[in-house]
This record gives sequence, structure tokens and C-alpha cells, in this order.
Amino acid sequence: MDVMNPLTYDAEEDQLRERTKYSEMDKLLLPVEFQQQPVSTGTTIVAVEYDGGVVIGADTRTSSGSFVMNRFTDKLTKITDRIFCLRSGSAADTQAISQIVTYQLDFLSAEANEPPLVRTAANCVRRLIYEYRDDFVAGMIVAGWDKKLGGQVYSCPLGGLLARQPISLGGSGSTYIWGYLDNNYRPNMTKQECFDFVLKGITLAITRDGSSGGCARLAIIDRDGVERVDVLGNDLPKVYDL
Amino acid sequence: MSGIAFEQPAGGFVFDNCRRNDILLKNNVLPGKIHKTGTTIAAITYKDGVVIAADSRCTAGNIIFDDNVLKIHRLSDNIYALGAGTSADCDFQTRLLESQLELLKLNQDRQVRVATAVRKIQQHLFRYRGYIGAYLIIVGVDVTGSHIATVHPHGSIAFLPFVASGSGGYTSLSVIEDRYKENMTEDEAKQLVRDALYASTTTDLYSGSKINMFVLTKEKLDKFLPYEIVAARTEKQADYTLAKGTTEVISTNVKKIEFDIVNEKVKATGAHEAMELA
Repeated sequence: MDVMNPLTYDAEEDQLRERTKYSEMDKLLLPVEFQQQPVSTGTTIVAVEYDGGVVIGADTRTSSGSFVMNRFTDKLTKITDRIFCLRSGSAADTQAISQIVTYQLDFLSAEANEPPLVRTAANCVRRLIYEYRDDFVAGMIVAGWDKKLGGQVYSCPLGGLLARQPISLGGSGSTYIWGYLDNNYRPNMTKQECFDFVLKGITLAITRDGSSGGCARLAIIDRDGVERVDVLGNDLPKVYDL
Repeated sequence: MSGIAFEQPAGGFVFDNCRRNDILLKNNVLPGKIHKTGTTIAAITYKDGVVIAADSRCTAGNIIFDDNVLKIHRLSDNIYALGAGTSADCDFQTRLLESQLELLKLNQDRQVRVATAVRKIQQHLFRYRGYIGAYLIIVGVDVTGSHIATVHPHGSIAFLPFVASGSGGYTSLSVIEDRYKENMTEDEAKQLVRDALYASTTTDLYSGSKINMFVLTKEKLDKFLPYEIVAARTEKQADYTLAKGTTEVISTNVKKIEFDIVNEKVKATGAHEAMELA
């Protein structure tokens, strides 16, 4: 097929060819960094509802390829006074989402003159993830406390699903601890039980997942506010270690 | 056979240039590579403010393109940026941000904050999905204290107490990681940053020449341009010009070569050519 000779031009076939050829052009045009993996949070994030609130937790590693870009990242991002989101996936995408949602909810609470519901926050996050599902790499958990429903955890994974769950986990490290958490979760735990449960889960993920690591950051959100706890890497609970 | 070019465009996307690029590719007409600098840039906070440093080498492939480049860009009186990655992107994005911050400062009649500068560039880079290859370190001192933030082309940021970036960033970072303490004095901080830059300029081929350093606090801005010249070229220790007659002439043989003139051409030479021959 020849572009100079339009009679033989087949648009469909040409487009297929373009798709493959264009990426070759990209390789030549773009410097090496652009072809590299963007900064992303190969992560472990966990959120659990308990009697009266939620406990959320995450590791602190941010990596780009095999390099740890930040070993004390804060993946528990505040959206409102009582609502947090947990970020996994591309750092740029998830930071943008949480900043946009923070802005939207600030506006909403000023208009409504009351703090927004956790479900509203989760819906804002879901809308962005769903709308840009082909462009974003973002799996997020929205957790918090509101007057209407108390402590809540909403899971918003890659494709743009939204589901309320009593316990939710995400990131690459979560695959190692599904079994542990499913086995040991009980409804209506106390605050301390729930805290220990989340911390143990993150610790187990950190020890097995290469993309998770560093320290553990946790937060307890309930009627009284937010209590943040940072556990250093050498203070994590002891687990069987090879 | 009327050409397709005379028809009215039907709307939608036009892929003519992609097709042209394909043809160029097929004929081995390769596009020019983007000009990229290998770099070392580093920044640390200390008791009163921040110390930032950068090397001054600009490379294009294996060639040192320029040996005296300033990779520290001014964003406002109290905020500065270090740039690595594509040098054109770093230059232009920092200039763009500088003018935006100046206007903001004049509008609100206040010193701009580091967080503002970082958020502005973050949102800009995110819009361009990583195609602006600017790896920036933004440092500054404002009413909330002194800050260092790294910004990546895709639009992710992190505020950190110390950071190093660029091709020599790993080397520098390991030096800083080893010796960084909270609340260092200015001299300690300068020495640490100098050592970090020295380590990378001597081991990374794409970093080198000079170490430029700025010390930024609430009260002052000290510029060291350069702070140190790394591995400066020294005097040659010996003269390698050979004396006349070093190679001895043993015998001489002159022959006349016979030839026929097939074609003859007389060409006028320009004045400057004649000068060079003279």
C-alpha cells in the first residue's frame, strides 16, 4: 500500500500499521526516562472497620523500577477531617485524584455547612477512577467516620468499582495477606484488637513483598478525630522470618 | 485520478504526519534526538535553611556540550529549583513558573510559598502526562519554614529532608544518606553537599566540571559559583613536541613521473582560502 497512490489506500489497515509503527517512532524520539516506569507505589494498604471507627494502615515505600524513591512516604492522605484515602498505583495519578477530591469536598462542605459523608468522598474518587480507567493506574481505599453511618471502608480498585466492605486491602503486598486477614477478622473488634490486626497484616506483607517496605503508618479514625501512629521498621511486631 | 488532497477534510483526527513519519523511518531518515543532560543535583535542609548544589556539565550523547551550565534556576527571591532531565524542559518550565509566581506575589502582596510553587508545577506536569521531561527539585524558605520537594515528570511529588537526583543522584544520595543528621550547622551542611557532589562528579561520566552551590535561609542567599572546580586540568608535565631531525634520513630518491593531461580545470580561489594556504 502506498500513501502517494490514494486508490490503494485502506484506512483500516493503515491505522493498524500506525499503531505499531508509532511506538517505534516514540522510542526514537523520546529520551530514556520517558520509556521508564513512572513513579509508582508498589504498596500494601489495609483498612478495617471496628466497633466505633476504622483503622487504616500502609507501608511507606515508593519505588521507580528497582529504586526506592522515598522510604518514608505517607500513603494515608487526608481528604477531610474525618476522611482519609489510601493510595496504591501510580503516585502521580493517585496524588492528583486525592487533591481533586479534597478540593471538591472542601467546596461541598462549605456549601452544605456540614462535614461530607464518607460515601460521598468514595463516590468522588470512584467517578475519577472510572472516568479515566483507560489512562489512570490507581487503586484506592476511602475510609473514615461520619455521623450517619459511623466508621466505613470503601474499596475502589482499578476499573472503577465501588464497594463498601468491613475490611479492604490493596496494592501488590495485599496478595500475601488475604488469607491471614480473612482468617483472623472478626466483626466488632475493639480499637486495640483492630490496630494490632492491621499492623500485623502490614508487617506480614512487608516481609514477603519486595515492593512494600520501610515502616508502617497507621491511623485510627472515630467520633473523636484522627489518631496517627507511625511504627518504625525495627519496631514492627516479630513474625517468622527466613 | 484526482488527488485526495483536493477533497474537503471529513473531520476527526488526521494522521498524515504519522504516515509521513513512517515513510521517513522506512528511508532511514531518523528524527533528531532530544537534548538531554546527565546531571547531579542535590539539596539538604539544615538548621537555618537549605543548601543546594548542582554540577555544571551539559552532555549530548558522549560529547560534553557545555562545561559551565547553571542548573540552579530562580523561581522567586525565596524559592529556587534544580533541574535534571531534558534541559530545554527544565529551563522553560522554571521560567514559566517564575513569571507565574512573580505575578502571584504582586497580586497578593505577599511572599509566595514553596507549596504553591510545587502545586503549580505538579498540576502542569500532570496535564502533560510525563512528556515534559523535567525532573525538578524545588527548595525554598517561607513563613512555614524551609522545604525541599522533588517533582517527577508524571506529576508526583514528595517533600523530603534531603534529596539527590539526576544520573549521578544515586551516588550523591548514598553519601548524604550516610552522614545526614537533623539540625546540622551551615558548615557541616555545605561540606556534606560538597562531598556528595564530589563523589558523583568523579564517578558519573555525565556529571562533572564545577560544583555550583547556593545556601538559602530566611535572611540571606549565598551563591558559590563555583564552589569548587572538580578535577581541573593542570599544566602538562612534559613537552611532547619532537625535535627536528629526530627521524634520521638514511637515503633520498627523486623520480620523475610521466603523465598525460586528460582534463584541465582552472578554479579561482577566494581571498580567505588563499590566506589560509599562505
